[in-house]
Amino acid sequence: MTGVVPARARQYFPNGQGKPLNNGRVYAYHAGTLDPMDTWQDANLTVLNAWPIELNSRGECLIFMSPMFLYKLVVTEEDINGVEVTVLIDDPVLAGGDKPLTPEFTADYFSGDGVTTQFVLSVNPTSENNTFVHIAGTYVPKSAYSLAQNVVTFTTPPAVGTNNVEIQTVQLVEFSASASLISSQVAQSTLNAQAAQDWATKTSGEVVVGQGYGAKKYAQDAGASAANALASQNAAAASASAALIQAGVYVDEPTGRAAVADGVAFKVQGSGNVAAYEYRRVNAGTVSTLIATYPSINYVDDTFHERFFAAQAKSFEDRRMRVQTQRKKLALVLIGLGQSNNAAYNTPVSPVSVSNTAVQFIGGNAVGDLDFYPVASNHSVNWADVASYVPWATGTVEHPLTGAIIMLEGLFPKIYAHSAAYGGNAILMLSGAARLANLCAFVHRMCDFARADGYEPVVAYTLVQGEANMSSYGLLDEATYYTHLSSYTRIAQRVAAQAMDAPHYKAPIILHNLAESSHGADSRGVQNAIGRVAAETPNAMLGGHLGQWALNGDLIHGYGNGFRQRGEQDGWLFGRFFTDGTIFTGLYPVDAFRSGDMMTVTWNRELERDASNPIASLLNVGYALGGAEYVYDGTNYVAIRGVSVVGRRTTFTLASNPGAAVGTEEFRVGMQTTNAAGGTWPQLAAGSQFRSASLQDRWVSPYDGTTQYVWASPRKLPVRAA
Amino acid sequence: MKTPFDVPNFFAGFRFINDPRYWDADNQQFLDQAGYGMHCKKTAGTVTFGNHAPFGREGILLDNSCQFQIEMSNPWEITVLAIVKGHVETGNQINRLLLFGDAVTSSSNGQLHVNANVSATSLVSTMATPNAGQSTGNNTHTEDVIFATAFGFDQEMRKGYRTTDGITVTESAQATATVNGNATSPGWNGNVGLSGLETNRYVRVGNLSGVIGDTAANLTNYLNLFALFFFHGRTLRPGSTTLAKFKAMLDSEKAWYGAA
Repeated sequence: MTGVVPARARQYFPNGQGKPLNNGRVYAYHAGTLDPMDTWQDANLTVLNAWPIELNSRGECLIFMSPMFLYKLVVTEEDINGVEVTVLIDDPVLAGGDKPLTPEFTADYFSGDGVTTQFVLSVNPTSENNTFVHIAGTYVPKSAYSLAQNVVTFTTPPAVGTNNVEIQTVQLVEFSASASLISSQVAQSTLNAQAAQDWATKTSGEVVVGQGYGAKKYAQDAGASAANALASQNAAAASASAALIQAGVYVDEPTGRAAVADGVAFKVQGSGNVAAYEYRRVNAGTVSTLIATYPSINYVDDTFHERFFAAQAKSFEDRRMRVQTQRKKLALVLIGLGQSNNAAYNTPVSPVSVSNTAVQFIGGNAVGDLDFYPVASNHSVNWADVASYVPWATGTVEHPLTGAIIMLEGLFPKIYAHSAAYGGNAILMLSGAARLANLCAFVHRMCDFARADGYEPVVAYTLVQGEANMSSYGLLDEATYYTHLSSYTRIAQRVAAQAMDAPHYKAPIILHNLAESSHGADSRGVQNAIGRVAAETPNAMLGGHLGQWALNGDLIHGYGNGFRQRGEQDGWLFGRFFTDGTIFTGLYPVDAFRSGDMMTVTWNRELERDASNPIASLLNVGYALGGAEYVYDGTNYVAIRGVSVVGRRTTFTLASNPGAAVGTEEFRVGMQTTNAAGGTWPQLAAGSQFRSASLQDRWVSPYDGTTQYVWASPRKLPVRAA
Repeated sequence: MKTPFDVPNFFAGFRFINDPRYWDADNQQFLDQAGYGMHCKKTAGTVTFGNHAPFGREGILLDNSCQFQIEMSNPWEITVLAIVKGHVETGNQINRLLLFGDAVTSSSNGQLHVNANVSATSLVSTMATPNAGQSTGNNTHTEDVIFATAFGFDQEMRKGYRTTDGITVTESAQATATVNGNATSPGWNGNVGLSGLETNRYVRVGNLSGVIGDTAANLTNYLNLFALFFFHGRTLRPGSTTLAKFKAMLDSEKAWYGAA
């Protein structure tokens, strides 16, 4: 900035007598104040004067003042007594005999037509830096135009509009101050001084009217600045993202499309979590094909995995909490699995009917329609079968689940029941890929219904396995049967967990024995396999042999009342599971040894013999006593003549001493190979007269009021030497 | 960020990343992230991990030499999301990513495959059931670019659905109403014999040729698999809330993988 010297560069000041003010002083202040102001000895304002300025012997000094301010000059001299007295006060003083410079803004308006790029200004700004251009109110960067003399040339012609091109020019012009203006500036100057004081002392609010704000305001501004800094940081991250996807990033898809040839890929800048989009141009007139979306760098880090696993943990916890909070609203989804002995069969029985708390799929007016397919077909459930549900009704048939429902009514507010039981190939049907869909359909639809009704579903299975899988489909030996049955139960429990949305839930599953005996050792192996799976599968229970209940004339399926009573046992077992957590493992022998003609067998719980059980009439007494057998070397039976029962131990008296231990002796229960009549379907003889002695292991049948018991499950085990 | 856990009935999921949270090297299996234990067990070959553009995301090479199986409790209605990249040099090459079951004739298995087309479109993916031949139709993709492709079935509508963005869902023609819902249930077509009992409940992963026992590497037609997610139910039904949730999840997955 160039300073301006008043009138003459070297100022002369006279004293009160009109003579040179020898060794006088000049004090420079801001106009109207006593705020000291700088003055200079040169026009470029580089050499400061002392303050105050000491006049020379001729009363002169060099004094240049800033053209930006108004000054007050106070001239003093020393009187005869050495006391400094004021000779002159000039207030205000304009800097210079020349007029000071002041910025002057000029605005030119033009109307864009979309074609014209050059516009002539009314003044010459001398530099682009002295111009400010707005088009339709939007600031135009200086890179978008150039200046030559007073002609502005745009890179892109401004769009059509009336006076939409505004070009503002700033120039320094001579300051022309009227007295009133000077007065107002003095006043303003005073205000400024007050503002400075307020700024330094006030902590809030405006310092003076129109003069800005106090410290608090500036602190707020500082906060805003911090936000701006953060924005800058994000912008830098975005730039880094742009760098990540390298060059060739266009502003938008049309721009990129216009820049590349057909078939060429290009990137377009994204926003937020998207750093860029990648397109492939089809042709100039078609929106390009989006082929990739690139995440921003902020999005690309291991937090992705952390969030994934956090979601996983939350998902598991949500499930647990949902079940916990819904405990009082649990509804049971009860599914019968397996063969025809879990399907509808025979004739319905009375007198006890289920209440309306139990429902079944709409797919049949009775439970028979959906659940008994006698052949190995690829059934997958039709939507119409499972679209809704109807009250449980046995119709013209009976179903084991009827007994289970009766026992469970009251324990659950609602029971959704159905049967995924098939003909002779239960394992095959439900462990095959397509057939699994049936089980999934039933369980998922039932769970959906429960949720729609406001309950949280819990799934339970009752399973019948046995003879048909052996005789019809060749699952003969124990190892094969065990393998497939294990898979079958595992998958069924997984389906339940998935349908319940509860990964850790292991649905209770009751297994029943129904193995034929015509395959000899393999038949017994299958019985054993069922027992092993029941023991090893989480939450599995063993319900014993179906032969304990009355069977139909085909010697395979139960009578209607036998069906219902067996179902009552299932309901009783589920009831214990859901009320006190009991996992009933059945009654079976765990150890056997022989000394001479005395064989001692230990069981897993206290037991008793019911010699009145009519099954005795079906047993081949030449071999078995109450369903218990002894085999010396795998083929030769020795009849049992007597038994005593004490607690968990039974002592059997053999008809004769078979001799020394041979290592292949077996004790069997519920596995008799021939019945009393030597029939070809000896399943009838597969039950026993041994039952649990615990009062907790019995119940009263709602069907006929009789006491029902838990009977020994078919099992074999080696007999060791005493 | 949304995850598969934000979509109802998420029942199995895998990321094919060499990280112990996803890959159990001791037992050579990818861990089921949904929590139901349906792990993706290797049955043949050696797992080859690799990082892929644009973000260096890790996936595995499926060239028919390395194969897996999932013991799938095969839902009645299923939705599958696969994040894949395909390289195919031979027209009409069918790369069977998923095969439901082990019928000797590959078309007898429900399947999701990525197909090199002879037409201008270089790559398509589709999913089909073996029964009644229900197919979702083709999603189109770009070769050598990571893409996301999703398919689902709807028993009530008897339709298949497909999408790549969760917005545009293309519906198949409605399957003929039959006595059962096999048309919209991927699985294994045919009576199950004892010999197939142990294997037909599995979903095969990576048996690209569809020929059981064939593990010959295909050097000119192969896939890179990044993630698989399975959902039960008609997740993709147009206009449904589940579709909206699926889209949100899909957006997150695509953004992370840089998938088209």
